[in-house]
Amino acid sequence: METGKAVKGVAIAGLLAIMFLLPLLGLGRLYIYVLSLIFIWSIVVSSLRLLMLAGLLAFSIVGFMEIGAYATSLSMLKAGLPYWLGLLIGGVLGGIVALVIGKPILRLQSVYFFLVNLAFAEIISQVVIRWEKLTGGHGGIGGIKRPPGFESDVAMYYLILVFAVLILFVLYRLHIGRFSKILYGIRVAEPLEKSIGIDVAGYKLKCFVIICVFSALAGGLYAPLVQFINPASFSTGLMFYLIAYVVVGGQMIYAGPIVGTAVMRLLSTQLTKGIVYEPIIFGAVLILFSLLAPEGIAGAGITLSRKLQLWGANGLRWVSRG
Amino acid sequence: MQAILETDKLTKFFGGLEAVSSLDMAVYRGDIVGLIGPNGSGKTTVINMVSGHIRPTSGRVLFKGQDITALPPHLITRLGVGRTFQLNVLFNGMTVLQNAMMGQYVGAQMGDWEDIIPTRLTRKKEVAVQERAMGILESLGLSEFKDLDVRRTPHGVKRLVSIALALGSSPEIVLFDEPLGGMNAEEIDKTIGFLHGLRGKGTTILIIEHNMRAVMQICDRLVVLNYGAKIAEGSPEEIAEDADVIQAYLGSKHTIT
Repeated sequence: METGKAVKGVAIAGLLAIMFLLPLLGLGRLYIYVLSLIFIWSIVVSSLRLLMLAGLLAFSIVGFMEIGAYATSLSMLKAGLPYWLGLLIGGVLGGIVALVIGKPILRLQSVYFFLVNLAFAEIISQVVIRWEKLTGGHGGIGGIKRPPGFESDVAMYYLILVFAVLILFVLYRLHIGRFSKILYGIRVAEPLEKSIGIDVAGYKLKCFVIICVFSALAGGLYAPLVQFINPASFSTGLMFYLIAYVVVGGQMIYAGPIVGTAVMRLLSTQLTKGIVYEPIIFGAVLILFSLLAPEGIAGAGITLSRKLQLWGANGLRWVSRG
Repeated sequence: MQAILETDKLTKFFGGLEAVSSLDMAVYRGDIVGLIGPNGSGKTTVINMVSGHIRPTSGRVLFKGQDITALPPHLITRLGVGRTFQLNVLFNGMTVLQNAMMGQYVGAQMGDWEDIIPTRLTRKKEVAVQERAMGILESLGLSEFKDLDVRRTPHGVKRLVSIALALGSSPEIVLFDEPLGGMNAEEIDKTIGFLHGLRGKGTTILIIEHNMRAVMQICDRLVVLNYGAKIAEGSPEEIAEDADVIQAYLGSKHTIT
């Protein structure tokens, strides 16, 4: 057990070191940019996964990403505020909206919760589209400036990497501890959990607010990276991409959705020269994974390593017998 | 003397069906009170209303004189009312020990920030949670099962784990909903012994149970429901000879043994 922990620690440290060194090793601009996007989506899918532990699929986090992205951009462009303050405003606004809508919608169960979330994300998009004077409507907002000192793609890469590491660390801490057990308990035995004194509604709300704030921050990081946002950047289609990342990576373990995001994004960058084929390939991959590896890459990896260990142990037994 | 738990004209309608009708009941500190009656007589509904899991149509529930009728379940538990469930509702997928630890989290007052940034105090709380959970498992004779996924344990063990969960919050009164259901004779004896010990430590017990021999053996007082209404109340001896009770359970011309 202790050696397993050590191995994990070394692996994570190694991965982080590689991530920090990649730009110095002369990685091309395209991949610097794609990796930056992967970090941002990793924040969003890992947040999505946290509430999935409680059996709730909060698609509205795409809407919260939109809130964060627009709040950050408009704070800079319309109010002339510095980026950092804009990012903060985006996060806080996301938190407040989550607090207000969370209370009523978290009373809903599974499918109903899912549908209301879908509707909420659509409402956010419609508000953005109709409030043309402020948001530019369908046309979106262009010319979003990057914060001073972070104008280059490499600098943005580091900025986003640092934020992603911090947020993913917080989500990881919540994942390994008591918090995720309480969320899991909500899914498997909600009445029992209430009966042992746990404020189930309170935990759902806390979790929802946390993931919405993180998604809003992800939106605030996305805007200056891409430098152009419009409602289509946060469409319903995007939500299904996120689900594809989670399914492909597997939701059983913490790293699953992150692995899924990385694999799918890199795959689509590598394989699809034009956007035309991307949905087809995505769909095919999604179907294949649902059929062949329903627990995703991470789940399949774990199964495989267990099998190998078993074979290894059996092999040793055979050898010692022989 | 003030009752630790009291119901005052407690009533519940499910649609047009009166599941519990104007129930007055008092449980005194340190007692073991049995709530009995034929299937569908409203016993579980009473426990669900007392523990806040369903709202009464009318009437009140008082805990140590305080009106708890409108409180949510988790607050009622925190005041000192524990409960178990009739079916094996457990945290499936977690081990027996993890289940018992879940019951301890509220009492340990672990803050959510501590999950993100643990302090030295956090580690101490975690150790205390685990030790107390182990202590409860030991007292129920479950130590050997502690690392098993609770799904893979035998039925009797599951029943006991649900007791371990209910005791996690150190309740002053525990509402047991058929704790002996499906247990074998040996497990029943052990569990009865445990309930006696629990009462010995000052915990009040309200118990729903169909095993009449056990009920007669452990209860100080019985409350009998039929079609949601209280038809009798008294010591086990009195109840065993009560004509209405015998009628409700068995029809006429029988005695309860």
